[in-house]
Amino acid sequence: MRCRGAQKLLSRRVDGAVSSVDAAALDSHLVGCAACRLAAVRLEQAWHALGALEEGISAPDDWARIEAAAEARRWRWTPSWLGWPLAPLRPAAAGVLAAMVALGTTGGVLLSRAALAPQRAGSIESSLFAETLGELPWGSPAAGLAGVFDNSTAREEDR
Amino acid sequence: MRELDAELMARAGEGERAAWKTLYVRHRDRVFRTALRFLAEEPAARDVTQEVFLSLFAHAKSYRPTGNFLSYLRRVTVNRCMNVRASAHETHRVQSADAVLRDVADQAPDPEARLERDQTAAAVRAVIAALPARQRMAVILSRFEGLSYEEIAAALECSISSVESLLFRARQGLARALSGA
Repeated sequence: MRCRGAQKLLSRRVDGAVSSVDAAALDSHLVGCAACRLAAVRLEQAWHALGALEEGISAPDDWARIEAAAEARRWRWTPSWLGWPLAPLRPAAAGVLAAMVALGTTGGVLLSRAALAPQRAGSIESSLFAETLGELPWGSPAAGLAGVFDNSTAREEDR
Repeated sequence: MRELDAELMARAGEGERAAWKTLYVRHRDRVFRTALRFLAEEPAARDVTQEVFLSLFAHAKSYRPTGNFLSYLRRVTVNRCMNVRASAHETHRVQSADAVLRDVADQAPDPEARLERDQTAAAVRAVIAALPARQRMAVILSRFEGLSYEEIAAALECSISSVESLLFRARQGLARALSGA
């Protein structure tokens, strides 16, 4: 047995994790190796010295502090899990959110259809767009675009 | 005990605060002790204890009692300790070790014995503090918590041979430092 292997076994022997075969091999190595005998003594002493820290340790009662921390973090957790007082408001909050999404979507669709309306002169959207904006002092953009379309059609017919 | 802890976790998962508190009362010393030995600083150990129980209860609903509850608790504690050590607390760790020692010394019978014990404990604590984090945690779990290699491997999330290696190197470091070699 080499010294490195012997010292690994010494470490395991402290924990009582050495088989009888390994223990016999270790003992025979220690008989002939002064360096490992010294290492064995130092290791035992060091492990024993740790006993100086074996004081009885009791945790302070921080329950109130922990509860306060949990309260402060309640938004990071699922509210219903701890039965927070705000939990009943969740369906209402979900309803408001859904309404906002629905309004946003509807508004977006209406605006995009209205914006495209001038490009389709003569369509129902165009008429609506023209009715809405036609009273402006500079005239209806739909009418202007309709004119462009009409002219281009006329030129094609000329050819 | 295992069944009781699993039952308490299940009840905590359903929102029962009394179950949460019972778990805290049952295990706070265990968590605090490991954290204090590892960090050698009482405020940091209290913070770790708090974080462990907050984390424990935040995940109580998804907890499945497939293994030993204590192994689970130990793993959470070890992870929290390692995280703290990597953060700002590390710089204050060794400075405040004396504060912990004062409480120990006060229990000694006479001033001379108190002083001697104080000095020995301070020396040992300084040597442990100088160990790399994983070696130190392996020593704490082995020497003070009396865990087997298998249990330490589960807590540190490594193999049993890694635990043997960690303890071997830690003991060599301790022996070298304490013998002055």
